[in-house]
Amino acid sequence: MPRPLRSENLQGTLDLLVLKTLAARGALHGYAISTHIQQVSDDFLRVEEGSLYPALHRIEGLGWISSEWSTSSTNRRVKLYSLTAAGRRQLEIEQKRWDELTLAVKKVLECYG
Amino acid sequence: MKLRSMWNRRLDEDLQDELRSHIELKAEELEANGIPRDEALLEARRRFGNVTLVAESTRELHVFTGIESIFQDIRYGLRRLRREPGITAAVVVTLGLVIGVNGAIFSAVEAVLLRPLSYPEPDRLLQLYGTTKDSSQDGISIADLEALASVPSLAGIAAEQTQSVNLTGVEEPGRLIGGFVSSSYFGILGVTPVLGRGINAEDEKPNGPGVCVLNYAVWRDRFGSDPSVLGRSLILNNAAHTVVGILPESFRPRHTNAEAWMPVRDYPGYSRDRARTPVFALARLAPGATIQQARAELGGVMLRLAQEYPKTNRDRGVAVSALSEIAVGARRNPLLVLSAAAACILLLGCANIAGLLLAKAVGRKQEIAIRASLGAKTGRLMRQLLTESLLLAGAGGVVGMIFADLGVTMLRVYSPDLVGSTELRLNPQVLAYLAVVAILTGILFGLAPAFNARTQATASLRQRGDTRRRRFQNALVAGQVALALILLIGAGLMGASLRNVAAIEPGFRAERVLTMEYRLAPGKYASASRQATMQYRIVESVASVPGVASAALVGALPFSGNANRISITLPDRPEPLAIGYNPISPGYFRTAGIPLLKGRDFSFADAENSQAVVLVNRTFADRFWAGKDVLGRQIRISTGASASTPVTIVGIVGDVKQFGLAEGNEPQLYRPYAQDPYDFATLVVRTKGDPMELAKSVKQAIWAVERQQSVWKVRTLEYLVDRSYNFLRYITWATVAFAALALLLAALGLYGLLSYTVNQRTAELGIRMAVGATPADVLRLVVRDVLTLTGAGVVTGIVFALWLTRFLQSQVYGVTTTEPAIYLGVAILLLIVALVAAWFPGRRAARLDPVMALRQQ
Repeated sequence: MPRPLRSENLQGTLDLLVLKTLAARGALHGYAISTHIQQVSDDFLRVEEGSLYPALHRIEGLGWISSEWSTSSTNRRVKLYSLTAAGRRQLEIEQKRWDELTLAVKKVLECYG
Repeated sequence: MKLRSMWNRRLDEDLQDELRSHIELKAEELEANGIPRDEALLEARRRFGNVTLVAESTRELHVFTGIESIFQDIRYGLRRLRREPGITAAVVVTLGLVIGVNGAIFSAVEAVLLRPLSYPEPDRLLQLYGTTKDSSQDGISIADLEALASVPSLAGIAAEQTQSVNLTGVEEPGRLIGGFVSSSYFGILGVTPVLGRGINAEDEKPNGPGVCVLNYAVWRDRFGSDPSVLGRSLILNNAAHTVVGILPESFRPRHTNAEAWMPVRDYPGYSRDRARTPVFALARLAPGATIQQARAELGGVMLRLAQEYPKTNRDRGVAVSALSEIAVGARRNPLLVLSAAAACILLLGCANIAGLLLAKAVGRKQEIAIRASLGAKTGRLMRQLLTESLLLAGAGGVVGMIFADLGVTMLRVYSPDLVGSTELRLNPQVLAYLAVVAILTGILFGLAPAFNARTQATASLRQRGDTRRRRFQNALVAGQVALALILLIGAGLMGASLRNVAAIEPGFRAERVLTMEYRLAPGKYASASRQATMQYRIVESVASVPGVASAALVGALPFSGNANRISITLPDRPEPLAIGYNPISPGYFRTAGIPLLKGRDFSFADAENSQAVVLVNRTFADRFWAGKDVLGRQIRISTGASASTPVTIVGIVGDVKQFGLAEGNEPQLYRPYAQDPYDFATLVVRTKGDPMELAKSVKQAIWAVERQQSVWKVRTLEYLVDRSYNFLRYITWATVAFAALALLLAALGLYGLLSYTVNQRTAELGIRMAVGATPADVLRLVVRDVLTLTGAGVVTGIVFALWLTRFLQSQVYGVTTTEPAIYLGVAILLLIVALVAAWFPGRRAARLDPVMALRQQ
């Protein structure tokens, strides 16, 4: 198994991952977001709490996600985040930019076969 | 700190809850995998790491609108400002100057325009003048005044007259300005004496005991605030007056300068003859009444009186104006002009600082980009920049207060005519105004960099933001040039007016002439001829003083503010005419240097019983008998209700300006004192040396004839003429100072922008030079920029100036507000200054080493 990539090395990418996760799974609390990303990436992407919560609050501040307190299935008080309309637009932008970036990187790498 | 924790407690708890729930969810999961609860919780905590650290970093990024982050902004801002002491100092001083200028001018506006009168309900006070066919500022007869008192729209009406009175029985005879008023006067103004009482109805009765009420300042300065002055007897105009009251210190009437108040019947010119109009009137509107109603009702009474007494009251009316209007009077326009100029300076200063901060903000591009990518919201970035601007504004406000205080002192010392008797000071109103101005300027000049930060944060490093910003910076500089141009044109117009006025000939020779005023004690001389004899004896005594070339008397000296009018009838015109009049002693024209154009001067042979003679001025002769022989003609002078004296014109003298250089010439008539005895006189003395040096011996010469004679207003004629256009001079110098400040600010703005542009374009210029551009070409590029910017500013400024200077119309003399020479001169001056400001950055650009320039990039 490759060495897990810590989220601090993912500056800028974390936003995309959070937005995408919320788009796919609906309202989630912070812990669920981090476990989801970890599971879906086969443990390759490990989201640190130290990056996750600042990012969540920042993104919320930008109006891309909103939050509300709710109760979990285990009857625990949790803060649920969900995507806003602005977040959906932002997701599209970031996803497109990511695709362009990976494509460009790929082109460079494949240049000499 | 307490406030901060209170403010954030809820948000903090929220965050703590969220992080705690994260740990517990993790623990739950571990538990589900079979780990015991205690261990699971421990492990979850371990894996989470430092909760406080996470909370801290989250909080930092979180955009609180709270006070905590404001403190942060302020701390951060202060750090930044300290790191750039040069820019900070430049901004604070510029701000201090522009705020100070505004504060000083506002203190004058506040004192003169906003609180012109310190009485209760000052808006309801009215000033009443009598009107005739020729004059709107005549007096009112006592009988007419009594008739006017009954109109329903007035709550009260009082006679008011001011005249100097002799104060004798003291060591050196002195003079007080007497206010002669009805007993209702102080009640109408709403003033209560601090000691004793006012003037009551009892005091007004004929032959009652003489009383007087003193102003606080007289009580303080002459009687050392001694309360026992009440009941003391003062000899005023040779009659005993018991002091019955002292007025409060706050009583500083703006419309009169009276110091000692007496019943109106003590006024020397008091008469119950309807043909005589000795007094003016002060009135208070009844509750609910308007000035229009009062005007209509008073006019109605005057019409009725005109029908009842056609002989005396034909064409007599009454003019009603608000007292505040009279108190503010001619000061309004100059003050508004100065305020507008100060506002221009303020705008200019803001544009200047905005330009400076904007250029600085570009240097912070990197920082802003990093902070933006770290997640700082653009709103937060803008707020940070605004906080910095407000910090600067605060510092500028404090410095501005110092400058304002300085400005107020200067206004007080150099421009007494502008502010009159009002006390100027930085009172709470002015300080509040300063604070508001400082905050507004902070926001105003902070907006540009703040918006720039927003563009940069969102559009990051895109070129579009740069172009827009550059365009905005150019507009700022062009705006500064335009504002400076407007102020320069204003200063040019005022300067031209001042030059024109100073060049006007007054009609006499003012150099080496000493003047002083006195009034022979009313009622002291048994007959009019005794009075005239005394006047001539005084002149004779003064003329014999060594160092005196000649001496004479005149009733109302030009430029002294005094003036007499007299009613005459010409042979071919039955209508009486009110014209300027002066009783003089023989030798007045020679002493004052007024040319005798035709006929003869008066001599001592023109006595009481010889032929009644008059001299007229050139305007008189030209207006009534243009081109015809004037000498020997007879006119009649009204001396009472029906009586008139025929007098013969024996000479024509040159025109003399009576009130000011810029005034037109009015018909004037002169009679010898011997044929029209008059208690008041201004002594005019032409001296061989320095006039003021003779003042003492001249006074001694007067006292040699009349031991107890008050003498006042000892001054030179040159001083009087000079003082007459002080007002214009102050306004001019203030405008010139403002314009110079504006020019300096605009030049600095241009210099700053160009220096910055040259730095920005180093690479481009390097390339141009590498491919063969000469230093001259590069210099030309920079100069072209300057000319474009300045040209745009000049054109805009001229358009605005053409519109704005119309408001200066009433302040300028001998020059039109669209004078092309001034516009052209100012435009050229600005272009030259702009080129000088551009010279240094231009030279730097021309000296660029292309290789170095390219490598730098």
